[in-house]
Amino acid sequence: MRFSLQRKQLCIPYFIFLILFVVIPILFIVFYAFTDSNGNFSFDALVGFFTSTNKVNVLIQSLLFSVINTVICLVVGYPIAYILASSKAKFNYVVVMLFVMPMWINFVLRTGATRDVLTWIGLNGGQHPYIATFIGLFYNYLPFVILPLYSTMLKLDKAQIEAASDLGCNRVQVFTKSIFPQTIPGVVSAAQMVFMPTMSSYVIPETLSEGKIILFGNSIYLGFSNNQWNSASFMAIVMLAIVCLSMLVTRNYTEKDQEGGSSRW
Amino acid sequence: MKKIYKTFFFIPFLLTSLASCSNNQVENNGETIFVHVLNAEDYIDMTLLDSFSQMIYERDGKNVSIIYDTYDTNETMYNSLKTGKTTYDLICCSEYMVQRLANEGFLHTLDFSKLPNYTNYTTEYLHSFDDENGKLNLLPVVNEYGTYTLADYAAGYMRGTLGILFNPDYVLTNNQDKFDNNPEWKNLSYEERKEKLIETFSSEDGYSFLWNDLITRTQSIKDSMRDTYAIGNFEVFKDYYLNTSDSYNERNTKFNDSSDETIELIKNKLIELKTNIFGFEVDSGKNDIVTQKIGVNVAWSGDAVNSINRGYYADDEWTKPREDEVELHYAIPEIGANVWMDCFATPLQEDENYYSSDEYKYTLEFLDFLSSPENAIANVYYNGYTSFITSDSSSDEIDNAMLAYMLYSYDISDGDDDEDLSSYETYDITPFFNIEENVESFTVDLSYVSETLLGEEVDDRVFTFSKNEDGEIKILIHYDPDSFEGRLLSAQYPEASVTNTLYVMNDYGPQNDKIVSMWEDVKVNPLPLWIVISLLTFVALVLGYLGSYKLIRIYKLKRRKKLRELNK
Repeated sequence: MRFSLQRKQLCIPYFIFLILFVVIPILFIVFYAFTDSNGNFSFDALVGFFTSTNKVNVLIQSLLFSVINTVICLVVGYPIAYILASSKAKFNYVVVMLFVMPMWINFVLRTGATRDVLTWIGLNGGQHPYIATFIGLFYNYLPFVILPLYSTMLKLDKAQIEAASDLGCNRVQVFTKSIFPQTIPGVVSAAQMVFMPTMSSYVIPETLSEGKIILFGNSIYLGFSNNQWNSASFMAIVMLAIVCLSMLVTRNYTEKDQEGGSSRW
Repeated sequence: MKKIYKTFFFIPFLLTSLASCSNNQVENNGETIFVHVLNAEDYIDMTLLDSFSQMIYERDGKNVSIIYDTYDTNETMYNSLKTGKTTYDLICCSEYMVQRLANEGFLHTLDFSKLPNYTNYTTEYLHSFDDENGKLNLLPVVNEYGTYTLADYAAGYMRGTLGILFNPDYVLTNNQDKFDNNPEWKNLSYEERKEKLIETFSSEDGYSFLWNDLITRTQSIKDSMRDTYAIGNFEVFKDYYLNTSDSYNERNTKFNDSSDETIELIKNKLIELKTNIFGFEVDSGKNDIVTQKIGVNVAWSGDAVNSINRGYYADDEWTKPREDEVELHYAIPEIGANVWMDCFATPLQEDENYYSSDEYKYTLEFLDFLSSPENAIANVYYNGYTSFITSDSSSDEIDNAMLAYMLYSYDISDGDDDEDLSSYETYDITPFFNIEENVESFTVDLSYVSETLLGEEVDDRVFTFSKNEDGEIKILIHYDPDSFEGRLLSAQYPEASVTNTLYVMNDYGPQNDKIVSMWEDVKVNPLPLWIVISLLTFVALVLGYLGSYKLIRIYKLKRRKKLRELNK
């Protein structure tokens, strides 16, 4: 018998992996979220979540943290990406590498080092938990913003920008009417890469605020570590729901991008 | 095609056969007997595992292999025991976790007749076989098999206290302005302040000082619900502990109070504390206090020993003292402290034959092996904690090895009876050693411990302990409280005078969930009102904008339609 490998079969290992490590765990989470500690079906976790001021509070705080962090990262990352993409200097690649390189080091180690640096410059989490946490979040997620923006901006239609200024747009108008609309797919995918991870971040607020700031990820961990599997699972489901929601909202923007190739990496 | 599927069928088979190799059920075939042990990280001198196998092989000609796994927190261990398929022959965890597991019927009672070393050498003060007053005997266990105490289920391994580790120099220099302006402190010189600070932490105000704004943001507390709850308890019931004439058992009940009102009171105290501290930690504190990020740390005694050593020595092998010593002190406030005990226990096995198997036999034997004084000293030497294994009042070099080790490590007198000891301060550690009533006196020779067990320079001091005028044998250590060794000593062994205020913490049982939610209340920061209001306004504005946009659109469309109709 001839041995032949079809393309479909190449997917089998990945498929098994997917089932084992993605689908089954999600089913477990759903199971735990809608049962009580004896394994009977119940809405206790759902009711418990929405009636607990603490949990709703943490959710709102995490959303706020995510929004603020996303905005800061975009505001800072956008010009950097633009300059990198538009300048013709040869060291561009080196600069991009400089932004990416810290990401090769495990972020737990990096956060430990950030903590020492912050203490050294007098911004330790004990005195300034919020500032320290935001610096940590910003530092960790800035590369995730620069890279997608950079790759979209490399493909900017220069002719359109030129045409805009030829037809009488001033520099601000060139930006708002031509450059920005062209980079929207990059902005959206950059925002996606920052928003959800910030919400679920655990190590960064824990380490840099000296345990004084609790985000959604910390809250879920607190539940699991105290054997409250059901309520913690429900919180994980809430998080999943927010992920799906943000995907739905941003779907329209990223699809447009397909003509120009994927800006996500 | 077929081949591929065959391979896929083969893989699970291979996996299961591999699993059965490690998860061994082979017994009595002259093959290796596996004993599965689960313990906390960094807690045992690993060379002991091999020496145990070696010893059994030489004695019985059997291959026994210890499969040694570790966990990081009691809670993760509990989760993996409850959900995992792995079965362990022997686990080691904190007393409250053993209690919880025993209450849930997870554990098998220990057969102490098979543990001669342990019954012989364990500290009676902590684990008593004759009366009800051992600390382990205080923890009740009620399960489907009957009513017990933890003393039936657990064999102690290491124990310690939860106290306050602090760096007086850091506290005083970093908060100098505040100390200068405080009426109680401003007229004192630096040395007097330091003395007063050291005194304060060991006084009845030890915990209250954590709330004091003199040390704002220099102290960190445990990011661990139970430990911080205990601190809150001491603060809330401070008046009670100081003025009560209740017996130890009644005070211990108060210490374990988890009624709704108490939880509420402690919650408010802890929220207040949160605004004053540098942060919460469980791991980083022991380093931060050495690297001088913080000045005060609520610490477990074992970590304190580690930090004091690291503040004193420049290198990891602890041979070369630093030039700029970080002087750390450990204090147990007079009001009381939590004493924690890590214990071994054997999980219940469904298979009835298990209890007659070699696996079970060697499990108990391994536990007893760890309880021999030589091996207990090896472990103490390795991890810096304090062992359950102690000495009795005999002159036998193995029987009193633990006392010899203590004297070797801490006593600064030359051991001679006629030496004038009045120049030293003394430290009473009698309760931690088993003293028989009929013994008149006994001697302790240090050379065996220093030479044979630790392989260090021979110390040939000989100490004699005999009855005093009251007819009691006291074990007193001559030391300098501010010296490096003195500070280590007070971290490892609490003084006899405080032993009556060391309390044992129960598992909270059904109240646990309430305490978890109290802990959430403490840790989660409430949203400030202005943020809530501005958020609501923002949402209202966005909705309003979108709504009116739509309304205007609808209106415009309607008008266009009308115009079109008119035009027609």
